[in-house]
Amino acid sequence: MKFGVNLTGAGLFLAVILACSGRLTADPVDYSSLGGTGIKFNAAGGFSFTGGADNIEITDGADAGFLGDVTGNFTIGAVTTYGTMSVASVSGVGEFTIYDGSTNLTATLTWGNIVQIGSADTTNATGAVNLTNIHYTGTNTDLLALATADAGIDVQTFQFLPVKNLTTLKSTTITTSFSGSVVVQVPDEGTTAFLVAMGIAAVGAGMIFRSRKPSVILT
Amino acid sequence: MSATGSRLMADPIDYSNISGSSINFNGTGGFTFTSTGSPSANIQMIDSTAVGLLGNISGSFTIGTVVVTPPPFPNPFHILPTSTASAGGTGSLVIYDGSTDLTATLTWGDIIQYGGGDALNDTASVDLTNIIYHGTNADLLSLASTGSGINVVTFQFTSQESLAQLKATNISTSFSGSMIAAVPDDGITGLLIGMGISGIALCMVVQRRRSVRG
Repeated sequence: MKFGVNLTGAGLFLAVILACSGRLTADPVDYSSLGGTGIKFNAAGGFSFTGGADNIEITDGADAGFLGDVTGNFTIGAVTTYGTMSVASVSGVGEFTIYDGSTNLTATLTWGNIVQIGSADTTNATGAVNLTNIHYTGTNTDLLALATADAGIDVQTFQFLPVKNLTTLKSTTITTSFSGSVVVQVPDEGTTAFLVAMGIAAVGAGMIFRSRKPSVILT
Repeated sequence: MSATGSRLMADPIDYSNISGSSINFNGTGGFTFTSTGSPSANIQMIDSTAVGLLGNISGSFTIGTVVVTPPPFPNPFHILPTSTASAGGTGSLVIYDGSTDLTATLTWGDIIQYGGGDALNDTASVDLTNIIYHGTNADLLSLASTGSGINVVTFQFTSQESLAQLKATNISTSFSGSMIAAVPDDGITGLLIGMGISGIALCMVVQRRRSVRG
């Protein structure tokens, strides 16, 4: 029983530190589509982001008011429907850019999935890492915070009236407004591995200590 | 698509929040839309003849009891739980055309959360009433043409707060939305329902008379 408790405790310990292996920074960068831009579905199962040089504006933080750009051509995969919800994978690669006036933050962008419930749609609803190769050499504090990470998460939402499920959306040419949030995952620089090693060592020491104790005392 | 017996007009007006504004959850079960500038604004129309016009969504709203729908089992596509709740409160929508304002009374019937995505009025119910506009912008005239409309807002959190967590968290984010006029059906729905009931009643009478004769 005691041994079981030890294993449970060790398991919890390991779970906690593994869950912390990629921290999210505290404050996401939120953005919205600009006037004259939008997310456009092309009736051939694909979508892209319209606009000229800029199609997003940062709406909060130290970079509020900065313009940016989401580019790339993406393709919606096979649609699965659950009641009023439809889900599909999304393939394709694009780029996420924020202009600070003199220097660009750039990142490679993918969308793992798209989900539709009623009028609402979300890309990367599962919050998976979908921003990689983040580069920035400027001085804005929020953008520097983004660039300190090796990876980030970008989630976008948008909406349609009337309601369109993903199957209909794949065969419709239509554009709408969107908003999004970006947050970075900070690498732990070996801390996780160190804590895991400590946890395993502690469990091992406990087992050795227990095996040396006599299980029955003879009189 | 509407569950209210109203048709939708062709083209919605789409909008996004502007820099310095947000949808803010207050940590005590309520939410508002923060604004900036004078007159207060928090949205910008992004398409149609209304593109570039500013507007404002105001009001204090309350999230009701949260209902969580678990994912299906088995769950091969890793579907996440969905949480929904009613959204109480009344606010207003204003769109500035430069000289004349479009105004409307705004309510949100429901709020839904799935993963990182959230929506207000995802069911696309009529939630804009008393729409008034005396200007000349074509799309605003269209939106105001019937006096009522549908407004849907979506927003997102990378931290994937459930609605229960959202009710207890002070947090803000960006948002986007679409709105469209709801066209009353001028009694067509009622007429069709009446004809259907009459048809069923007629069939029952005919069947009964046949059975009596037999």
